[in-house]
Amino acid sequence: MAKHHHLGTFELAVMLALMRLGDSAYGIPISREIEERGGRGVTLGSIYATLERLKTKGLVYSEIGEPTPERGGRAKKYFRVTETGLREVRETQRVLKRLWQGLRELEGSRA
Amino acid sequence: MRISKPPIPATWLLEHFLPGSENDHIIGDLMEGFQSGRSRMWYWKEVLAAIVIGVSKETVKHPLLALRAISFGWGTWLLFYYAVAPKVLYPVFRRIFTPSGYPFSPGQLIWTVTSLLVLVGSGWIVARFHRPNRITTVLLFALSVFIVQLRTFPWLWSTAANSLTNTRFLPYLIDGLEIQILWPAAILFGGLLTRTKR
Repeated sequence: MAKHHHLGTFELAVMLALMRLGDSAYGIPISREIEERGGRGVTLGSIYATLERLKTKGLVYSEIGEPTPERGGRAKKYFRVTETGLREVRETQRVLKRLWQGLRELEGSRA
Repeated sequence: MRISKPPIPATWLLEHFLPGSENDHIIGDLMEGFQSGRSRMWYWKEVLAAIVIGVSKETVKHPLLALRAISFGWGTWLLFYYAVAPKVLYPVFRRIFTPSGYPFSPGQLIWTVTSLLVLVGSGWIVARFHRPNRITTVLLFALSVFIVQLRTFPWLWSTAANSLTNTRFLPYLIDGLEIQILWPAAILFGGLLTRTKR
């Protein structure tokens, strides 16, 4: 049986943001994406801590991008989801769906 | 495009006290966020959060190292306070200065400067012996000193209140604040002395 990493809520939010942003996933757009869609304020520090954890688990990888003047000449660090990461997101989705099913309290309520 | 500068002290803190060796992208992200219209308050909040998260992460990763660093720092200070100072400094001080409890007496001022120098040295020792985790260990040691000194807070509070009505208390308040603020600052300064230019 394949080993699963059990993504936490914030880890899942970061993974989904990376998938949505595709090639332009770095600090600022990731935090904006989670703030806008997730409806919660996040700090860049917590995003990078999570990304580093996901990287250690082999679920994401990073690449250094181009420096720009508005960044004080500092380069961007882009993050992308790996194949293992994608599998993990699918697995989490499957597990959550299963947990959701058949709960009468939630039936009829709008997501 | 006009580029506005984010708060300089916050950027300085970020550049000097963010744990880890590769932080350029975080600093760049914060600058970009600020340029795109975020407030100074947002920038400060992000800087402090990044430092706190970075230090917590490294502490959780290396708890024994953190404990050892704090012991090293306190060991240096206690060695000075209980062994070197009573045997070497006090006898010399007694010969030169008239003993006085007044904070701004020459003897007390020399004692204050000596203490600060020893604390700079202890910060330097902690950083020197924990090079890969230099920032985290020095910050933890400075934080431990700050927390221990908080025990004088009730006294500081009453002295501050008394200073409002009687200026006689003011030197004692300054002395108390010096210990509370300058002691941790001296440790951080000592830690920064080991910094190598990137």
